[in-house]
Amino acid sequence: MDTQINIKKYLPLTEATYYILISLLEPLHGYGIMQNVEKISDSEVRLGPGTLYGALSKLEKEKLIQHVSSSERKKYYQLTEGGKKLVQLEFRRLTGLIKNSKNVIERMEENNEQK
Amino acid sequence: MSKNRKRIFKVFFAWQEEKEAAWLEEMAEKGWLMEKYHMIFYTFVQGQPEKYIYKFDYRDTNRDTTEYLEIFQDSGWEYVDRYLNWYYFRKKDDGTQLSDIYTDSRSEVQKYKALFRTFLILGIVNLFNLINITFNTSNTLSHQGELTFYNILRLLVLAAFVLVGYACFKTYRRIQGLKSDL
Repeated sequence: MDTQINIKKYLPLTEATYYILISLLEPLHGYGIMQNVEKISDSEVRLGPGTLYGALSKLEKEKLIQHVSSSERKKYYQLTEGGKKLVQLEFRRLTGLIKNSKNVIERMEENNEQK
Repeated sequence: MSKNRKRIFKVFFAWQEEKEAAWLEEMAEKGWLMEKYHMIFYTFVQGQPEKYIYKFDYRDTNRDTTEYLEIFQDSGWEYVDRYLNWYYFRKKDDGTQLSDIYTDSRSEVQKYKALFRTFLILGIVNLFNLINITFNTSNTLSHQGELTFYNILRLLVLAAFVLVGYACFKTYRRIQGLKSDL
């Protein structure tokens, strides 16, 4: 319960952070994350190296991801238990937003069609 | 220094990043690629005139520098040089790629917060120097010549303090500007 409360303070996540977290269920290195985010978002979301590196060091410091291994010059990261909980909480929050606003958005669209 | 290299003396302040980048990009279009930066000297190497984008990053740590540079290089940014904690990167500009190293303002704020912290520490150190020099000289001075020397020193420290103070202010303003989105 305690961790739940602690983790809630990170919400809402930025788009970049959310995409980084969902890329790290399995171990992956920095550039791998960039490629994965571009792939799963259909090239809609692209992360700059400054943004990615900043997010990684922050997430690692907050123990939401951890450094699992290194090969050559690359560090591999993976979600911690806390990181998994965070991404699930954010998913639920976002789903709630969509559900609660659907009605309003649909009415707006209907109005637009009538005009 | 060989024929295809040149050294240029030029001063840009920390709050003039865009101006500095524009100048380096202009140099690249004339075929001069930045190679090194030291103190106030830029060294350029002659090459093909081409369009480049220059970006600078600031880190207040030396941890994981290999990994840090690797991420930049993997994503197509060439590491040019580093001076103190400033990192110079560039990329050929073909108009299709991502042209910035920061893609959201929240992460960019982190960069300027690190810079702000550095300036703040510098400012405090300078303030102590200023106080020290102003109050400690009166009893140690005996000659007229020394007095002038201390006056010049005092003026220099004061100028440094004003400069650092201004840098703090400019960096703070930039952080506020980045934060102003909804």
